[in-house]
Amino acid sequence: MNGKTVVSLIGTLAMLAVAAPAYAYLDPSTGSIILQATIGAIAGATLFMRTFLYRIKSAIFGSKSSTDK
Amino acid sequence: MTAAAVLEAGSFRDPAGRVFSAGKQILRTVSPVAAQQFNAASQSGVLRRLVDAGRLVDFADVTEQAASFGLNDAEVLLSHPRIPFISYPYEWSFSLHKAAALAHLDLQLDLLRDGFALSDATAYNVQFEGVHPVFIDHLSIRPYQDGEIWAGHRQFCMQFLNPLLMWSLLDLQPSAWFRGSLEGIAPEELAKLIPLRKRLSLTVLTHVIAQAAMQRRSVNKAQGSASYRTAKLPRNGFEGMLDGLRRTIAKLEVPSHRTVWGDYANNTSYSSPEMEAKHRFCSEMVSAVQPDLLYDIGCNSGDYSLGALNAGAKSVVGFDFDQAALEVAYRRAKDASLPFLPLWLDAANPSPAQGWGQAERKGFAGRAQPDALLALAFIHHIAIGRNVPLDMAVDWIVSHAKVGVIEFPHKADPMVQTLLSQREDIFPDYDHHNFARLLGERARIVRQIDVLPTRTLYWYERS
Repeated sequence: MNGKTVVSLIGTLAMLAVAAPAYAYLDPSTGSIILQATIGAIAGATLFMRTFLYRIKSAIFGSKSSTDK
Repeated sequence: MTAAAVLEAGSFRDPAGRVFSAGKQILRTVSPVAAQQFNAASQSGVLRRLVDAGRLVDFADVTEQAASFGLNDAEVLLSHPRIPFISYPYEWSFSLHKAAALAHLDLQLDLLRDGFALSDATAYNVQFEGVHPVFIDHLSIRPYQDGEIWAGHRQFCMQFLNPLLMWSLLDLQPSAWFRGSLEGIAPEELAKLIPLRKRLSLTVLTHVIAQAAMQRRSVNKAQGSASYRTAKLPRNGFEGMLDGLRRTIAKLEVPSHRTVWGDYANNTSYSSPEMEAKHRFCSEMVSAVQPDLLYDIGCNSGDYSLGALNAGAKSVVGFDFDQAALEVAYRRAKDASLPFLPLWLDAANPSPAQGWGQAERKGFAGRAQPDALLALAFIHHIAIGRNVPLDMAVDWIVSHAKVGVIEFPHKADPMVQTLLSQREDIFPDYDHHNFARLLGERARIVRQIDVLPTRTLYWYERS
């Protein structure tokens, strides 16, 4: 499977996920939309795991501030 | 009597409303189509909470005065306090840009918890009070619809992420590029610059390299984004993207700025009789004028900006060409929460009026009306470093404020001699007697003082 096929496949998958369009004046552009449809699930899972691990760590070692400003 | 409402030329992109300047206030009309969304945000209390936390510029509903301003079409009319100085991302130091990016992401994340989202991600919606970022566009805040995509994602990348990555990964200041390309730096462009070994980060791989590839492919296929309008991003995915970007950006730094902090710590305790004399002289001018806004042109790390604040200036905007000095100035302003904003300026080529109608983004001249200015150890940089004739250099400096202090380093001064060491002296007019004459023709010289045998400070006042 070459790069082009992968991108086409991702694009098709992205189009299959359907939601009501929101009021928007900004054109989000195609590259960004395909990317979001692709990495959105991964990003969500990563955040879930991070929060989950943080909770376990806090439960064992006591809570600490996690801000990084 | 109400002041006339003058349209701000930069507020046309979002049809939700327009911004007007009216005397000391800023007015914002809310169009009928956007009023419902604004009312939802306003009634939920989220806007007021953000204002109270100092993250959103204050607002008051003045709809009943709409007719007196001739703004009858407004469904809602808001009044805002004026921000001392409107700055643009191409004038920000790395730390200011990073603070703006983090403030934007934090705002998105917090809004999402309250059921709201931002309709865009433009960096021009972030302004600074001191060096504290404040969001200025109330109409970008609207109810979140479950599963909607992040409409501002590409804009966030172009105006926040990519300039910061360019600066941090490549040690390349993005200001000149950003200034020429007001929408920011596209992933397709940045992707070409990042070498292979610097691509090995999830953020670079996804938001820059993959996005660029997908964008290029869609453009090549001539397929508009319309067919993708129905794409969906689950809420936890949205939060995950925002959180991931926040973590990455919080860790970014510029390699060449690293040594600055150490040098700063070693230098702050240094003070000479010359510096003390300069401080005293500037303080006398500031105490006499009591400026609401003072420009410090050539502010360096902000020594005299801080001095001006101590002497009674209400806010100071500093300008310098040296990014390392600006980083130190940023840190000093941030650590003490000072009303001091240090910005990047090439005085020989200041920000132009540009964008749509050459009015969307304002030029440096006339952007604000400072009550006083300082230009210390500055004029030789443009008069000799950039070949600007001395009379034109004096014209430029005094044009910004009616009162100020200008330091003139004589030709024999080591600072001037350093600039002349590599070139022929083609500057017969660069002379302190000539400078005093030129300044005297344009303004009254209130007082002058020699802080060194080769450096003279002039306090001027013009009509």
